[in-house]
Amino acid sequence: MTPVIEAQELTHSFGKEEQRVIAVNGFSLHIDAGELVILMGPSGSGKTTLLALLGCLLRPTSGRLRLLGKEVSTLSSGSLAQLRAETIGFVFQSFNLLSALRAWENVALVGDFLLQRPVGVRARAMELLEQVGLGHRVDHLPADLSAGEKQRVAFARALLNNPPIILADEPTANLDADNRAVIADLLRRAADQQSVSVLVATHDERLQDWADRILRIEDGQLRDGT
Amino acid sequence: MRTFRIILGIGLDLLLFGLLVPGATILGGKRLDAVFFPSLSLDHLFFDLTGIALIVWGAVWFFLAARLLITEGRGFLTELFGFRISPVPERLVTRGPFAVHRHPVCIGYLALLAGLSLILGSLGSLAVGIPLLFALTYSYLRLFEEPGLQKRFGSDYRLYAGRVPLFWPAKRRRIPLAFRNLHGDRIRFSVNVLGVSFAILLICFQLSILKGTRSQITTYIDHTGADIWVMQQGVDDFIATSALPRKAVQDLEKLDGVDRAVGIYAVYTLLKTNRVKSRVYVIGYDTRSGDGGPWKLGRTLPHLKNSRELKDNEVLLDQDLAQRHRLEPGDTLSLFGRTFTVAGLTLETMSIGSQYAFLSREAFGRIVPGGEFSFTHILLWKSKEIPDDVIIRRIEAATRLTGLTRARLADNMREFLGMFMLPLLMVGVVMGFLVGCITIGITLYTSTLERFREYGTLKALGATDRYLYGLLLRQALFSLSLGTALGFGLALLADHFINQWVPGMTAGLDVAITIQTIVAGLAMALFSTALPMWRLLQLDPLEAFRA
Repeated sequence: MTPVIEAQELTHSFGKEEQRVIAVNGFSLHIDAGELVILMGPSGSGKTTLLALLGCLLRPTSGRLRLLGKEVSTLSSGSLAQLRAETIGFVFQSFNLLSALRAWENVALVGDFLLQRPVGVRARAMELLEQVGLGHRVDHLPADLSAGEKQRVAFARALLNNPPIILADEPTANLDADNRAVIADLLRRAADQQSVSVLVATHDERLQDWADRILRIEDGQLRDGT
Repeated sequence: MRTFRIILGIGLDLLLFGLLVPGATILGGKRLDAVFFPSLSLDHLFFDLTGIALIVWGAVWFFLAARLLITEGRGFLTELFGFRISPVPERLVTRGPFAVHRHPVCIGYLALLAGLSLILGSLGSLAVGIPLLFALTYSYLRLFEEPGLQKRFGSDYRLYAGRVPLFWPAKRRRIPLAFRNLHGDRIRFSVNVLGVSFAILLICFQLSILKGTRSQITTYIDHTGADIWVMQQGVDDFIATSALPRKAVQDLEKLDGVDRAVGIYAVYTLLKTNRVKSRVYVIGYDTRSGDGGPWKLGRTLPHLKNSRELKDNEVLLDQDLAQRHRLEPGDTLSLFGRTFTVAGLTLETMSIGSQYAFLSREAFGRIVPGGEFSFTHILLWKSKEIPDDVIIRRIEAATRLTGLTRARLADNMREFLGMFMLPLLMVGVVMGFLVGCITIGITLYTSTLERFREYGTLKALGATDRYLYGLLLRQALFSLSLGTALGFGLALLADHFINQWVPGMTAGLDVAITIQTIVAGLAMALFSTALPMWRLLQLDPLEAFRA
């Protein structure tokens, strides 16, 4: 079976010459459909840079990246944006909801990025919010939602376009224990029920219980796990 | 062989689509114009600007699409009815204009032709030629091109066709993010709308003053009704000094085709009363016939029923001028050192910078030096349907004086006005335009910086630069439309105020000015998005990861 995410010797460095910092250094990984992988490492270890590389937000300095069997390193920035909209759902540490939009609009917004907006986006956004337990909060603005609710809206947003990949950056860092479990359950369910490949970058050890595999990163290199 | 086919294809394209099709459309359209629309004219700035916009857009769209077909599709354009003249594209192109609709080359070409028809002012081309061409193109694409492409690219093309429309981009109901972004900060939004409305008011008002002034400056010329104006040789406006011998009137009346000729005086002077000074254009007219006199009277002394009853010691004053000097019928004033009684007030006799006063020709002749031997202008009415230029040639041959048609003299006056008024008014229009650009631009820029991380999130989630530009443009257009509505409301009020309360000025807001102002507003919206968009292009989507 072709891995959904397949990275070979991914390297990314910032700066030039003497000031060069290698954030990710020859990192290889593969994630299959329906797998939930936790990427652990201390702050500054290169977790976020790796996530940005896998999410096609950064171009690798060297190495190869294939998503759904397709080489993406050579795509134009417009094609990468399209790929992100169609293929990847993002969950951010700070939720990153748009303050001017209601909960359901935040979820439905990503439908606008597709070349052809699918029909029934609003209904799908409502359905997803219902699934994450926010059916009663669909018309609320982010400012009126708790941290846990915001992250659940962000999770619903990540699922709107039925992406085969979810990349989550410290999704539980700003949440209490109850909400942490809710978000971890949602990620697990997405992997199990919708065969989504989930990669979670975190330094929260308690999330390990939900993972299929754990990768450890240090100084931009894979230290443990395969 | 490949090179030969490419050259042959380009040659055929140029012949067919560069020459024959446009030629047939325009020439056919012109024939239709002559038969069906002889009195309808598209000769207007709005149509010219729209035509230019269509040509520019059509050309850009056409060449972008053609370039993509050649560079990415690795093929050329010429395939007619399945017959491949030049090598056809090997790869399916789905980006750029091809992401908007499936046949951008055709759409760009049709837009170009429509723009050309507009510029050439051919209603026949627009109403018949272009729609016919569109119908033919549509039929050809459906019957030949589309089946050929499906055959060549298989399921890839079917998927593409399912996603992208043939011609018209599918109407998609978007999340109203642009509106929400604007509406989020109501104070800033209100300031923005007020700024735009001020800019629109400034542009609209300056243009309407220009128009009002242009019509006002020829008011006397228009109302005399004379077909031809005769002046001293070399004089071609109603401002410069002119002196003609009185006997020229008889000479002119003898000419074939002249019904009557009437001499008048027209001299500028300064009126000083009640500590108010005004520049007045004093007309000495023929009180026997009323020719050259006022055409509409307001309040008058009881004995004065019409302008033919004016006595030599009386004057008729423009109503606004009289109001400014606090003069009423029956009051006296001094002109050229003589005392006159205000016998009545005249209406519609104000012009930019001066108003009219009317004396009898006899009184005037005694005032100005040499007045008993001369006139300043002679008004002439034709008796037969003889062309104006024929009469003018006869006048010049017989009297060595200058003759001008009423329309020509009015044009000359408008041109004269333009020489000193236009630069001033254009400064106002440009200032209004800049105020609008800066207001919308600053508002957009500050709101963009404020939501920088949110824009980063949008980029990370898959928003393209085009989507972000659309977002900015919609915000600009939204501010613009509200500001424009308010600005036009204010301009109407300002026009009303000027026409009612400001003596000597007329404002004339009309459809043409409305269209010109809206076009200027649209340009404002486009310009104002440049700086914020430049910042968004620099924006790194990694911004979304910053906690």
